[in-house]
Amino acid sequence: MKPCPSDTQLGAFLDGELPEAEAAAIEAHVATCERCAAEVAAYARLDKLVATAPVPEVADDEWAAAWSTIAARIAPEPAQTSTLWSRLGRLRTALVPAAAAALIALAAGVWALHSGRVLVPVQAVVEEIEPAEGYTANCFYSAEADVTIITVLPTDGQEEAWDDNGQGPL
Amino acid sequence: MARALSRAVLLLMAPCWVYAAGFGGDAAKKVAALGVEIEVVVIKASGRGLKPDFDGRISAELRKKLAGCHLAYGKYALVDVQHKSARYKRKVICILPGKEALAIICTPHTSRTHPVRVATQVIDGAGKIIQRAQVLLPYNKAFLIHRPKGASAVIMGITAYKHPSKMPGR
Repeated sequence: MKPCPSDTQLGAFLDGELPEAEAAAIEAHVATCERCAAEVAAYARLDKLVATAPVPEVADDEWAAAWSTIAARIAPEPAQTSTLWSRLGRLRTALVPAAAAALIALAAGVWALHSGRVLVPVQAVVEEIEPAEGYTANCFYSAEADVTIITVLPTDGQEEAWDDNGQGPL
Repeated sequence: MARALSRAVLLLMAPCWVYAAGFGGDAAKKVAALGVEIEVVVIKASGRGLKPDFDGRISAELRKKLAGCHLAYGKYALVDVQHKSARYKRKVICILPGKEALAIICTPHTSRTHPVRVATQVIDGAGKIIQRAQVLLPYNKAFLIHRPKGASAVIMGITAYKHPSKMPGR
């Protein structure tokens, strides 16, 4: 014997909502199963009871009151007023400090012009370095000492050392 | 945000810089007639050592610069301090140990008032130019030329001074 159909299937069977084959299978089952037959009979009595119950009349003011609460819940969001200023939105928050910084920089530039302090390099910039043949030259900037140093030395390293007293022609 | 800010500053500062270039050009012409003070400090470096021994006559500022270059010499001795008053674009010669020489030509910047262009030539004992270099640097700020020979070296600290009273815009 097949297992009993669920209450949902029995309800649908009673309402005629099942496919023909499934409805036939349940009909055959109900004919041999006392429990399911009793269940179907109970559903049938409930349907009959509901069908015979009186339907209360709803007054117009009751409908209006109900619709007003429903309308309030499903009403669309009020349209936002869209101006150029509001559309700038986040850009506006970025522009305000940028404009302030620009004004400060402009003021500093004007002050620098009138005081003669105009955009100076803070360290030596080696623009050109050219060793003669047989020599190499290099330069580096020491951030620790804030100084640029240029080194020139013979390629083969064969030059004699400076004399010990270091005085030379002086 | 930062990119937008820097763009805004650049945009707003552009006219200022254009004006500065014109202003600086006039001032640079005035400065060109005044000349420059050149100081060359000649130091002999020798030996090896992690903790260098400095000649007490070397200024504290120059000691700091030498120490920060980490050249690993053990001893730094002051050989000479040479001061030369020169007009712009005129060559001055400083004598170095070993019959060598250092030629210096200072040129004012064409559009700015504070930086100076210092061209140097290191000339060996036979009169041959062994290295040319051109450096753009602020007035009153030294840069170094390191001339190793064997185990020792001569180091030149070169500074172009301009008296504050000669600064334009004062």
